[in-house]
Amino acid sequence: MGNTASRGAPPRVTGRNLAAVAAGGFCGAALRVGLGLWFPDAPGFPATTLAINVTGTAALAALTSYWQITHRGPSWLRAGIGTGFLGAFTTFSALILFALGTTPAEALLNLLLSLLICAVAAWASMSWVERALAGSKDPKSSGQDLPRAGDPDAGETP
Amino acid sequence: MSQLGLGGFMVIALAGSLGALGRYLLDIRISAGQHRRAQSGARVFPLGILAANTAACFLVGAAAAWAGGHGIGWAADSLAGIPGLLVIALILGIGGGLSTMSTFVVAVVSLWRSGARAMAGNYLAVTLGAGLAAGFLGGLVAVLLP
Repeated sequence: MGNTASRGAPPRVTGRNLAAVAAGGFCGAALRVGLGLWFPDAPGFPATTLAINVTGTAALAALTSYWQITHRGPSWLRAGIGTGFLGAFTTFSALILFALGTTPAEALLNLLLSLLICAVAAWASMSWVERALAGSKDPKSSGQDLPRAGDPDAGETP
Repeated sequence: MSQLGLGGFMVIALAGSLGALGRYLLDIRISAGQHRRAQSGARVFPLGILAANTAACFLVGAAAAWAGGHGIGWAADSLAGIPGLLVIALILGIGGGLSTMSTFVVAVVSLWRSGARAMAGNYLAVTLGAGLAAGFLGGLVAVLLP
């Protein structure tokens, strides 16, 4: 179950990959800043940043598992969506900046809560994608039964 | 709502794009070196993303402290002219784009699930510690800036 941590060799730097990362990063940062303007973080707890980080992490976890199991997706698309869009959409520096500017108790609470919720979201969407892909591989259906993109609750709609 | 305007917004998003490019290149450069040294199949510590996150924390720590020392507000909804925009572009754009939560947490969870629990725990702790230290250090260094 890897990513940068465990996949084989790092991708090759091509013009197409760089352009995809730049375009994805532009959109991800724009969406993050736009959401921040729309729903400004309260001074006591940066809930908007947390929501951004949780959704971005869950989406990247699902895509990482999907790409790893299916071996689908050209490298520029992974770079553009994974590294560019979702990487720039989510932010670690905002978390640290908040922690350094507040009381130790609030800093600790925010850091622990953010990491815990993001980790649970990543874990849940990885195992969801793995289950969905394992289920669609067994019967005759040959890959058309792929999971709906990104929404871990898609299976629970009444 | 904001006095940022479309132009200011584009500047910040462009800065975010630069930050993402920097993270991508840093990660590739560092992990390529790691992969050359590691035997094939061995787990590799995500040093590239750690470096990007730490650098971003140093940058935002320095930029926020510098802005604070010069009385420049950098909340995106209460912009203080061109210096304010530059500080926001540094903090939300370059810092936000260079740092990443998603790749960091996905790597921690992936390592843990694949059995490399010690490496997952180390990565998590080192990223947090280095980020806090770098942000704090950035704030100290900002005092030296004009």
